[in-house]
Amino acid sequence: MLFSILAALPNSGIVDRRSSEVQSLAALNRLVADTPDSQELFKAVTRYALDVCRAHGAWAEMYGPDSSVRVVAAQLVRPEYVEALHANVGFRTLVRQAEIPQLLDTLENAIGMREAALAMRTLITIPLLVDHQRIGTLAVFSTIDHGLAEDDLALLTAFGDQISIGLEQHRLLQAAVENERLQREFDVARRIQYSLVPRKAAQFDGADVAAVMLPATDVGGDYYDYVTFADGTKGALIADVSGKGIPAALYMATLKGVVLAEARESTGPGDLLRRINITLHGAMERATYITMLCVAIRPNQGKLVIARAGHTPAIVVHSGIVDSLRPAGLAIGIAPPKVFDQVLEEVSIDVAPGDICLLTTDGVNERRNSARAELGMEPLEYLAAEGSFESAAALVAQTIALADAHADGADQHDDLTIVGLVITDRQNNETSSVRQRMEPSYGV
Amino acid sequence: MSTFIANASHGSRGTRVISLGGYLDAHTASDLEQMIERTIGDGCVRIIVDFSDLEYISSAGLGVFMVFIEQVRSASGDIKLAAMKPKVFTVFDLLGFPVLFEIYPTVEDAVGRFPEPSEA
Repeated sequence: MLFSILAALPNSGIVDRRSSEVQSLAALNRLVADTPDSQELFKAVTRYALDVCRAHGAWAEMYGPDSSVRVVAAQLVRPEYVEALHANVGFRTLVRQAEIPQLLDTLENAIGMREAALAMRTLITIPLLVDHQRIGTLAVFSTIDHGLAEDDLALLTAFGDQISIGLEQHRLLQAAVENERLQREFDVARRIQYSLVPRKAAQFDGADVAAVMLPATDVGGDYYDYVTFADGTKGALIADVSGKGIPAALYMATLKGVVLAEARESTGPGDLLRRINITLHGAMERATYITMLCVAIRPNQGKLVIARAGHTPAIVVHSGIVDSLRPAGLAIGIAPPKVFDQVLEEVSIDVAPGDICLLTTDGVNERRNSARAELGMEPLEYLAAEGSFESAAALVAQTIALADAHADGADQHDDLTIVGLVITDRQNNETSSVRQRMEPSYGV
Repeated sequence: MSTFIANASHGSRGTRVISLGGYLDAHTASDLEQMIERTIGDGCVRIIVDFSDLEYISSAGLGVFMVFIEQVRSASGDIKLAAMKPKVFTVFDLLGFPVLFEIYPTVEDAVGRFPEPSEA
């Protein structure tokens, strides 16, 4: 009786070992929490595994998408040796295919390898999973038969779970870091964008102008501006740089510089677009282009002059008749000046006070609702034709309201920019008459 | 999440037909870019892009075609576009792409515009 009780009591060696196991697991927990680097984690884990099992070697291996094997940490065994063992089909299958932790007592029989080539006699393998995907294996071996036991297997299984949790945490941490980086990039891009567009509505001679730009979660490359041409007449332009994020925002900044430099030399919208293409063609990445539409207000002639470089058509309402204006023109940057100039058209249309002109980027007509249905151009044309707008700001506000009503709270994936013009009476006839005398001939 | 599909297959007259489906935007444009790059890397410069199943194309998606067109044409090849849905064609058309790229109603039409490969 006494003997059996004594036999059931753990001996001091086992007590030592148990406490060392508990300490190891606790240490591993801390390590997982504190180690941002998975390489360090594997190093520490293999070291712990070696110590607590009193094994003769341990390693961790990871699998690449092309089913390659990489030993990421190894204790008392050379990584190249382990990688070379994978050339043996039996070994490879045994280690990689096992979906649960396993203890192999007679390794050489299991894999049919001569013992001379194999120092390992007993092997424990623990599959490592991240997000339910098998990514690697933790392995511990002894060079003597039955050198590892079931309780080693149980302990290492717990280790395996901890490592999986740690790796999962690393994955989430890295995703969070990446998100943070993207968020910062987004903030920079948005600040650049906002700093480059005029904030206030403008009163031009012959037109009231207002605009709004609503950057998307994905920051696009929208831009609008008001310009003064060589003859002193005013104009508005709207543009969309292809692509998104920082690159689009930087191209937009470049574009602003070119617009400022070229507008005062330009005779009108067509000439301005032509000059911008000369400057930017070949100066941008091949995949990048800019669509732009430019309108000049010619109060002396009662005309709007419009040129388009691949941009969404302008909506013009004259005496209640709505027109979608789409003069021919290639996007800026896609063709050399010779081809671009050949295609470019400039149209001139009669306008009277109360007439309106609505410029948008594709973010407006492609605004989607939760069913992914786009707004389209027709509702915009209908609004322009049927609405009554006491100011350009009202035209812009009602256009936004229309897009918002359609989207009904769905995410906005592209920038949304609207420039509205409402034709007014002449403001200052004297100034304009001076301009009239200076006016050169128009046309591209 | 938007889905995008691109498959390459061999067409007659030594062409490679790249069939697109789904949404081609800033997120998926690099997939197409890599596929065209591989095609050219394989020595094929007779490329036809089949738009039959493409539902949407964004500005970044359109940019992909501009990346390779000069390189392909300087090697006596071409990238011809075919079978666009009206909505997708409108996007190309607004930008003026029909001036720069040949666009055909069907893949067969596009294949037929490549001359028979000479054995010489």
